[in-house]
Amino acid sequence: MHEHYNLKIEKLNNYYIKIFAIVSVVIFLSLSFSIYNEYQHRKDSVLEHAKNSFIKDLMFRKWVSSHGGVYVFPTKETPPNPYLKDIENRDLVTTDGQRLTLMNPAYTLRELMNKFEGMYGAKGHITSLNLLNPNNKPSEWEKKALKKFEDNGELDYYEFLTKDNKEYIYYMHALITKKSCLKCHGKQGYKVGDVRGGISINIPMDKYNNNFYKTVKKIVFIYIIFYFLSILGLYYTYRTLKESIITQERLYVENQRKEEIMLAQSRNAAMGEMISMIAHQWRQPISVIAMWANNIEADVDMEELNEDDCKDYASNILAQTQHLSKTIDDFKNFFRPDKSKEDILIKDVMEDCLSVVEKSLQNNNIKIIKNYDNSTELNIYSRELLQVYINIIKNAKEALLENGVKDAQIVIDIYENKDSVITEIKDNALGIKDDVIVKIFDPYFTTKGVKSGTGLGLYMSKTIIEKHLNGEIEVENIDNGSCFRIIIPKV
Amino acid sequence: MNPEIKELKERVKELNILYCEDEDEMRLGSKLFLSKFFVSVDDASDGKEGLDKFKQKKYQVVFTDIMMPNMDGLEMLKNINELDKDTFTVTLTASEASEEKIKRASDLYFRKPITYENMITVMKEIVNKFNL
Repeated sequence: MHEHYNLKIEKLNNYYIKIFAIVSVVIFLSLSFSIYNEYQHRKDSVLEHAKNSFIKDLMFRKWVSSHGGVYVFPTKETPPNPYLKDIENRDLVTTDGQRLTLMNPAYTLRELMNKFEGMYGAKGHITSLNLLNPNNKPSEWEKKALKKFEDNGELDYYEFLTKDNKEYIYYMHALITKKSCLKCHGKQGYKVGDVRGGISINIPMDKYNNNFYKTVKKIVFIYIIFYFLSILGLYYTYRTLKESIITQERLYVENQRKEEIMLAQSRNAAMGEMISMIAHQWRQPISVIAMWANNIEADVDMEELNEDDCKDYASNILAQTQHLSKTIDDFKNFFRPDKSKEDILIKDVMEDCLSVVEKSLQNNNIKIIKNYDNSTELNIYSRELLQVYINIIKNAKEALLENGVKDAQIVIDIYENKDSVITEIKDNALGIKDDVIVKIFDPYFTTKGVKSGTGLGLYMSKTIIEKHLNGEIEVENIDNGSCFRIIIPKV
Repeated sequence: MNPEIKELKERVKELNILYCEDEDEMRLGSKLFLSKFFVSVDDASDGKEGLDKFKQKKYQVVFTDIMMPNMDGLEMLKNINELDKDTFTVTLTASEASEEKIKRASDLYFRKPITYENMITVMKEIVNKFNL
């Protein structure tokens, strides 16, 4: 995998780990908040229940109190209240002899509470620190609550407590002494506004806890689904993005491979070109050697062979072999693998190129005019530049021959400015047609027909100059010909 | 030793020969070879010089290279054929291009390097051509 895309995927991974963490934390917090809300709601509703119970008791008590108590038939459950024995008219007899006894508010309420306790889930108890009826005596918790009312002036107090493994809310509300109370409680020394006692309400939490647990279960279930969907969504977008990065990379690699193939193709084409040039360069010395051999044969056949001539022929042949040997060096230099950059003068690269192509130009009556003004060495892959030069000069040669130009010439100017070294290769081959010049650097564009042109020469030249040498290559028509300009930056 | 060669030489030696070749080494070696068969061998280093020489003297046989500066072999042959279509022309070239054109332009055509047998063939063709 390519480095750049590895980094991209790493970035994506980090990004998604962060999003995942944030989403998880947010969802967890939100869940916690919801559960907390439910918990509060449980407390609030049970408290409301307790308060309502209290109010109901209070109202009932008020009603009894507002009538100054009620008279009922004395029964087993409702005997005359012994704690009211000092009250006048506690017991009445109607004119037809029916006995009635007075029930004071606390008495009625206690009966209500005892008889109907738990009917609404709430169990009430009316009590006081200062009792008329010792049966109404407060529990330890009620004492604590009553104390709080007396000491702190609070009107209610509650606690959640567990009794016999069951949770209850213990709620107590103060009863404030009113004028109507004094009928029965007057002699206990209360004044209006005093805390006279309280009503405690006791509600089991089962129902509320069950509701709470059910709701929490529901919430947790919904959150799990939501969390799962979020992660699914994240995973889906993650996969999509990763896929697109991988696709990008694949395209990049494909593109790179395509470019490598093109480079190889153009290398091969250049090599083919070179081989034909070698053939050309070798043909002449071999022909000369053959001719000296022919001379020897003729001398033998004509019986004119003599030692001096023989020596002469041999030395001529040897001279040609030296020439051949030198050409091998030239080409070996050209085919040398270009693994490392070297410091080299651009004009020397051009000279290397001309040593290879000059012969073929001369043979075709093409004059080469060189104007070099170049003294700055550049650190480049010189073989690649050489390939570009050969390409352009070969194209110029072909254009000159195709157009049958008289006084054909190629002018090579190499000069420098502050930032770059510039090579201009100009011919007088009548210029390039407008529709060709715009496509001249396109891959697989050729004017030479499939047989002789690959259409890669100038495309690869452009690639080499722009991508490998960070330079520029441009072409324009000039008087009677075209000019290729190669600008290579000094740094 | 081939006694046939000596006989060939005797038959062709009186002909005037013009040889055009721009490569000095090639011209030297070939001219020497031709001189072993022909008494009179003139040489030229390009097509223009060759045509000039042809205009000044009667040559029965012209040997020429194709790729030469100033005027190439094809153009020179065209001019020579216009001047004297009986001239026997032999092309000796390294060029791989326009083979058909070259074959049409000359009586005999050989690719360099030229073998001894090629040259003997040339001599025999000359004998036939001029009924020597």
